[in-house]
Amino acid sequence: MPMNKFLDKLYDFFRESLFSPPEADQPWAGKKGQVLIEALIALSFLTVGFLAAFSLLGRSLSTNRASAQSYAATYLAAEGIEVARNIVDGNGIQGVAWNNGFANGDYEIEYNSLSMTQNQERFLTYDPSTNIYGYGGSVQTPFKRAIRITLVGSDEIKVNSIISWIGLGGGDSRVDLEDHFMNWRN
Amino acid sequence: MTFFLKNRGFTLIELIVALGLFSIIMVITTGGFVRFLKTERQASSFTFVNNNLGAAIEQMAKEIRTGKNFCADGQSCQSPSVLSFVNSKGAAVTYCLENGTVKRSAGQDCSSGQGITGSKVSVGYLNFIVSNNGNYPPRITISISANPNNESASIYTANLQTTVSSRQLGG
Repeated sequence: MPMNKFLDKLYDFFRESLFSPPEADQPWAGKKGQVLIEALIALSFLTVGFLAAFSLLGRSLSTNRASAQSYAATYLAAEGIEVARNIVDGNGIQGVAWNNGFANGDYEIEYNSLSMTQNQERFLTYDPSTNIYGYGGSVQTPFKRAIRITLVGSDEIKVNSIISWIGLGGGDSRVDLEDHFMNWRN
Repeated sequence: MTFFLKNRGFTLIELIVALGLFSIIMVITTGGFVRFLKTERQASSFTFVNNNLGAAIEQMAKEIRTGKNFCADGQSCQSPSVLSFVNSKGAAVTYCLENGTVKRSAGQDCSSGQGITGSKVSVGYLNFIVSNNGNYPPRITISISANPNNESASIYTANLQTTVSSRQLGG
């Protein structure tokens, strides 16, 4: 078929399909019922796509809540390290052995503890009247704090402050801060 | 048969059904979208609160760690939400809470200080517990709470606490 004839046919086809009034003998005339189904399918795809995006957002909110718990846990763990350090420095002030009161094992401390007590796996509590996290408050928090002491020779104490809790999704979460105290004053 | 085969455009019924389906789906999607925006706002306020509190605690803890004379030796603290001390450069510093903002000021006058938390969060309380026990270095416990400064304020409050031990043993 010569090129210009082919172009003529093509032109005719588009002209008819776009501008001529529809007739029964036209090939697409019987397919008009499909338009609705096509639109339905397209819309349902769209909806599924949107719903997926929304559920992602919901997830991001719960992740945010979980990260808020990690925040609180991290500062509580840091408190454990600082109190242990305070006790070590206190030994220096009192002139007793630098690692006096430290032995291998897991311990509990509060913000105002002057010595460490054996770990009883208690939940930390929050006291709404004083706003203090400790063991005497009325509101139980999800956090448990263990101070793990490891004596590395006579001149080094390894301290792990471990906060563990059941996360919002039900999984185990934990923050484990580690510090090493040295006998540098001697 | 030719009646059905003729492409006569949409009938009214078809149009109503199509529009009805379309609007139902759009209502569901729009509702979801509105929820999505709300959730997004909440999530970002959570982040604001945590970032502000984190920055404030870190700044206070760093300066306290190298400080001395906590609420003592000429540094007086009017309330538990005020902490005055002398920092590592020998300058008097006060941290305090005023109108929902944590402030740091040179000297002891809180209101002249600069805010170290932003305007998008409202700090509910800031408490310092100072233990100047002679046998131990000074120990300062900071507890602080904040919530977002918008409509999601009621659903999220962060309560944080940490303790700092001063490295200046004489304290």
